[in-house]
Amino acid sequence: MSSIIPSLWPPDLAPTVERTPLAILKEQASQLGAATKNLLEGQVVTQVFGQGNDRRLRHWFNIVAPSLDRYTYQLFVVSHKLELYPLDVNLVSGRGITTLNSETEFIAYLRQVFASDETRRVIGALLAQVQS
Amino acid sequence: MLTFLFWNTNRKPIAGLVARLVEEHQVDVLALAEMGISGVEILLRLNAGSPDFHYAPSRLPTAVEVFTRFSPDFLTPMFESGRISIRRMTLPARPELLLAMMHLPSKLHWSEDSQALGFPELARELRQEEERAGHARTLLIGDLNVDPFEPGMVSASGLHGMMTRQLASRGSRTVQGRVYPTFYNPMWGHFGDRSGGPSGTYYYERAEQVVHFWHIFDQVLIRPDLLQFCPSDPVTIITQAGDTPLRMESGRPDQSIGSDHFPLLFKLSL
Repeated sequence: MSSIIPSLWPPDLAPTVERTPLAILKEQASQLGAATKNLLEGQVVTQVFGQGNDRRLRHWFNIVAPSLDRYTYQLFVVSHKLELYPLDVNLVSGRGITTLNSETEFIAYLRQVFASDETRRVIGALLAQVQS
Repeated sequence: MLTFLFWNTNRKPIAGLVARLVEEHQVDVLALAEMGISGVEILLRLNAGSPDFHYAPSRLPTAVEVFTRFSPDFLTPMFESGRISIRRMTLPARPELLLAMMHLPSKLHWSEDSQALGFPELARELRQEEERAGHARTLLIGDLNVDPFEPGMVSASGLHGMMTRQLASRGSRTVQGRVYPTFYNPMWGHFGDRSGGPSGTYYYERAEQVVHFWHIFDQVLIRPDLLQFCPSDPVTIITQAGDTPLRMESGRPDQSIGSDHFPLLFKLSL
């Protein structure tokens, strides 16, 4: 008679990092709403692409104007493997792909993108139309 | 506790009053009919302090505009027409709801027969969405432009709204071999002098034989599957926003300050 095999998994399985790029993006999406009284909202849409263990997670960071029939502007897309870093960021407006090797680099890059003339122009145009 | 506020604002620019009510009653879902100002203006008033509220527009232009204290991603439009919006409310760690909001044709433009004939169609749409959702935890809220006692509201093939919780808790009734689900309509208890509040939500009088004066066109109906979450006195007809009275000395809605309808406040213990 066979005996029951106990769980062979270690009991202390836990996330390897406290903050994922996805968590950072979601927090920033929420902060856009706070900064614009929710006239504009940030949105993060995640997809998985590729095959087998080479699959990558792709996070689209969008700006949505709910009162403009949910007009959605894709600002950039972040992609990474299971290990999170390095990650690639591709600005939809151009500049090509930038590779970032750590959370610190990622946050600095986001700060730069959010403050860029291009992002300010998009947000300004959306706010003007929302409030007209 | 989830708190809903519905108000037919009669196209008045009363965003300030709306925002005061939302703050005062800690409303989670705000539904407005006959908005006289844009959704953006309402949103800016609601978020004048902290940006708690979101605009949750329908996919098609609909007679009721919705604002939520939670992300509109949790309030997915399922069925929409010019007058009706049925949404699936999927808040985390809470039972899913169907929220049906509407502003139905007025007695000024539709005969009572035409109004009554529209209700079986509405009831079918509701049942269809309940089948798609796989449950009947449905909350109906809006300005139906008929009173709770009218045929479309009471008839089995209409909304089948029962005047007591006990009657509604039967769940369904069979008429001529067909099974019709019930709604609990707590608005019945708000007519007349003994309701503790105003005698209706809307006042209308003219020189003819039969006049009811007070009407309750603004209503909340609850499916029996939601009764377990429904407090004993779930609906309040609001007559005051902060220190601003919304009614005149006669008790009727004061249109010089607010709307010709009183707002409805509804709570669910979810």
